[in-house]
Amino acid sequence: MKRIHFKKNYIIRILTLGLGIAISVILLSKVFFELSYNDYITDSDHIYIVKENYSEHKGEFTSNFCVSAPIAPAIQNYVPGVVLNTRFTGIGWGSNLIIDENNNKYAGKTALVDTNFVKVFSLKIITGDPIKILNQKHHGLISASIAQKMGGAEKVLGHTFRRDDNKDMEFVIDGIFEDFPQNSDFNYDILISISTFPSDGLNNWIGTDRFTSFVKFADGVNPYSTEVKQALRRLQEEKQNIEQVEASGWQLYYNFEPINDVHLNFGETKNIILILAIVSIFLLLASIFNYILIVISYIVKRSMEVGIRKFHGAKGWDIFRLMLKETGVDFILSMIVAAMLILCLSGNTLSLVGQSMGVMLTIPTIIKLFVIIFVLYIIASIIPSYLFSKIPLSTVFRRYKESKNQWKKALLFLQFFITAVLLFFLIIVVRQYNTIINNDPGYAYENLVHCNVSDVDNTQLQTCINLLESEAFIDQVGASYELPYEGYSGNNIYLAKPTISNTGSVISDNDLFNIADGYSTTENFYEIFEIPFIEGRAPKTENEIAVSEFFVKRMNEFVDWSDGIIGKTVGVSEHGQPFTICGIFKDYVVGDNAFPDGRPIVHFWSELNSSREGNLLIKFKNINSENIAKVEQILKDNLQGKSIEIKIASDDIKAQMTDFIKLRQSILIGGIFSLLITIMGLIGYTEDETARRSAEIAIRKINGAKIYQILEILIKDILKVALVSIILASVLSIFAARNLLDLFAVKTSLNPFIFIFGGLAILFIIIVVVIIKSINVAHQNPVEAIKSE
Amino acid sequence: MLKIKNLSKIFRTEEIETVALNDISFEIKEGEFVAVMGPSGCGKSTLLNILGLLDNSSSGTYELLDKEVGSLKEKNRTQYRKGNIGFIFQSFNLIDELDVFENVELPLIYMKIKASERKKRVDELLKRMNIAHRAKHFPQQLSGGQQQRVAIARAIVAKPKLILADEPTGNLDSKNGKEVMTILTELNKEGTTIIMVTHSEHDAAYSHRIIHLFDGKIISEE
Repeated sequence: MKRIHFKKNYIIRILTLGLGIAISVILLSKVFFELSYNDYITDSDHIYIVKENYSEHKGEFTSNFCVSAPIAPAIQNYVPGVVLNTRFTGIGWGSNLIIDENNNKYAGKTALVDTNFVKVFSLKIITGDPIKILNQKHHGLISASIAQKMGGAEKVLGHTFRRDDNKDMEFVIDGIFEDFPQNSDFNYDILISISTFPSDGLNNWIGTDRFTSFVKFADGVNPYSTEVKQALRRLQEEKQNIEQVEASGWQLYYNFEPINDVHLNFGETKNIILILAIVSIFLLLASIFNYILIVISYIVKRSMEVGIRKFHGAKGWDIFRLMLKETGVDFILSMIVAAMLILCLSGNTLSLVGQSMGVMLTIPTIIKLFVIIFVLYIIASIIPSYLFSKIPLSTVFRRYKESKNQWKKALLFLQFFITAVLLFFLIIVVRQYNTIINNDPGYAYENLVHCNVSDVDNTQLQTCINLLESEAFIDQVGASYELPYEGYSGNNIYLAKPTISNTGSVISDNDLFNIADGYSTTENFYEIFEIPFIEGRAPKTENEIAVSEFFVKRMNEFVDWSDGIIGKTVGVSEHGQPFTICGIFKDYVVGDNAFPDGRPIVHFWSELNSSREGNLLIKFKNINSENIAKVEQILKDNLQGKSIEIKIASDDIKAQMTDFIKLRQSILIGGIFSLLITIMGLIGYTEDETARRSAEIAIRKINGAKIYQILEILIKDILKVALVSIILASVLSIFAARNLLDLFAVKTSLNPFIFIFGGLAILFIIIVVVIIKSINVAHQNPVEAIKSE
Repeated sequence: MLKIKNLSKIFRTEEIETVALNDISFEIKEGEFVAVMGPSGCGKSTLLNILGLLDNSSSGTYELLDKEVGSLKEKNRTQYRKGNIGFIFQSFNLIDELDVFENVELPLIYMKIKASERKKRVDELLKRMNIAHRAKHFPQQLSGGQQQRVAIARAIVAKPKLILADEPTGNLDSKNGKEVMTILTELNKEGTTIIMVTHSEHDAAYSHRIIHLFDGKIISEE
């Protein structure tokens, strides 16, 4: 029986450690994968992206990573220490399809690149001379995977292709390159010579700022030094006539950001990596603490063995070696378990963390993981060997009674703490997710689909609209340049003519504030999205604009339009002419629900059959797959040569939450497995405690203790540890959750009941586990326990 | 005080069956001091456990204080044991985590006696056992004799009518052993019935009657 019990505990010890290692390895692999972005590039630590910073009319600076085409080569000429530069621009508006000579369509991202692109990004060429190819207008290279899909090199090389969204743009493929690694921010499939771009755009020093540009610095050059800044300024003075630009109210300067930070600084990547790293490290620690707890639990049982070893001359180092060996075997077995679990889960890691294990487990990542596991192995060996070496020699002659309870309680405390933190986080993240999902964006999207119709013939488009409007299941058909949940670009509002400010002074052409520019929409856009008007109406001419409620508030900060805003005129940068405000609509959320754009919104007007609006909006009375298929057929039949892809707005909005859902899943996995490991540790602890205290329990029973009184003693002991750890975990979680929620514009409340009920739930689980594991001992005949003593 | 009739105890495992007590009968009157003797494995401790309601017999009847207790369920046995039976073990069986005072106080807690009353009774007993100065010490800080005096104090603190002692001097030197036997004799003189399992002829001489067991049977009474 004892042997079976020992075996059972040993299996639990190996399984929990294996489980913890497996899940942590998956999460840590994702962390290392994200951190490894772009590091395949040779000398990546010397390569920097060029950042453009500008402000209009002395307003706030806006930054972006796109600059005018001549800037990167000029930086190499002007800035000492810059040894290489490259620039490129992605092309494709709403479509990534390319069409071959037989009208077959293939999905592939396209970029116009210069000849240095291959060198800077360490691209491996399979066929062709990239310098020669990229020097020729309308010539380019294609990735090996797309070439393979097309039927191999002979079907690709020397052949002409077109882009689906711009059929006038033809190009010839003369070379094939190895696909970019998955951890690349530049995973283009087709690279076409930059000379294909209109030459006036390529030579424009200010404007046409759509080129992502990189420069490579020589060893020892500081890209942030005064010398570099002065050289950049000189460039601007000589090439951009920057002083004159500044005199007109604009400000513009350039600086650099390391290529290795580009991925991390994109969206929420950094926060997600941080949370994933914390969850995986917590989980690993929980597994290791659990392992040590179970090993220490055997100290009483193994004291005689250690005593005999010492009696025969074993020293502290010998005991440490013994523990190293035993722990080593345990770790190897656990890693085999972990490897098997990872193998079983490998099909799910794509949906779990967004990457397959095959992609994430690169050699450097495997080395890093081994280093982490080795450090944990040493920790897991040192603590038990220290305790075992403290066992006195006299245990050969009498029973070793020391329980090492303080160690065990400390380890349990840490496990409870980790589990509580992860579970509290899980509750907060789930609540935050629900808050975001349920947050009313201020517009309706449930029965809406959209389709990209850019570059189609207006007559064909009108035919489609007529056919769609004649369908009984269609409510309305409209169009817009932008979609609210995809976010709007920005422009500035200025006064069209000198106006009396609300302080009584006259203000003129200053930029007042930045707006979310929804660009043009059809008149029925507001009806389709069910955005109500507070005053006025939708624009009906090119001279009119509709503004949001918040726009009015912002405007009132500057001017006294107490007589009403309808009918007033304002200028909008980029759009030129003064516009008359014809309506005020209710504020709605621009961008995703988690990070809404807080700026005032402005919409312009356009005709329905104008393909320049890009998005055809189709609102259903009754949306279902059959009706969507009918719409798709109508568009396919009538928009000849155009690839039709119907997108459902509600699916788009859900897709925006993908990162957040993956974050939730990661915390969920971490929380559940941490709880599982802790429960297993608790089971081991309780079994050990009840075995160790069996005589005490018997004595208490002999002296009149009832079952519940015995359970009370065992539970009270663990509850004290659990309560303190949960309280501390709550404090840490509140602090951390506040920081996490600060990242979101819409946030869930940090209700204290989350922590009270969450803590009570953990305590309840602990009590149940202790009762289940100790009820048998509490019922045991005390005679047996005393006999075995 | 107690009466057992045709009592047997058989331990069964998958492979063997061991008869620990074989159809024994005897009676012990209130105020008696009875020693149970016999070689190792003759069933002495098994008998004591059954008499102390720690274990059930396989067959036969057991009447304690005019009540049939042989067939009681564990919950009821615990209830009946409280205040009626005190135990003294060879290995003392004190709780290491509790100090001397708390060890002695233990039965009174489970009898739900008020704290002030508990303190009074424990203090009195510790004085009587000459270990009041060790009240805040833990068992491992005491000598064997002191530990057994604590165990006796715990056994009698609830003023039981019956004390069961399983080789109470087995782990003690002769001086401490004599002290323990003197205490048991005093308790018996005060009216407590005592049943003591012992290997020692010397200790058995303190009793009024000796029951000899061999292979689970009573072979003689003297």
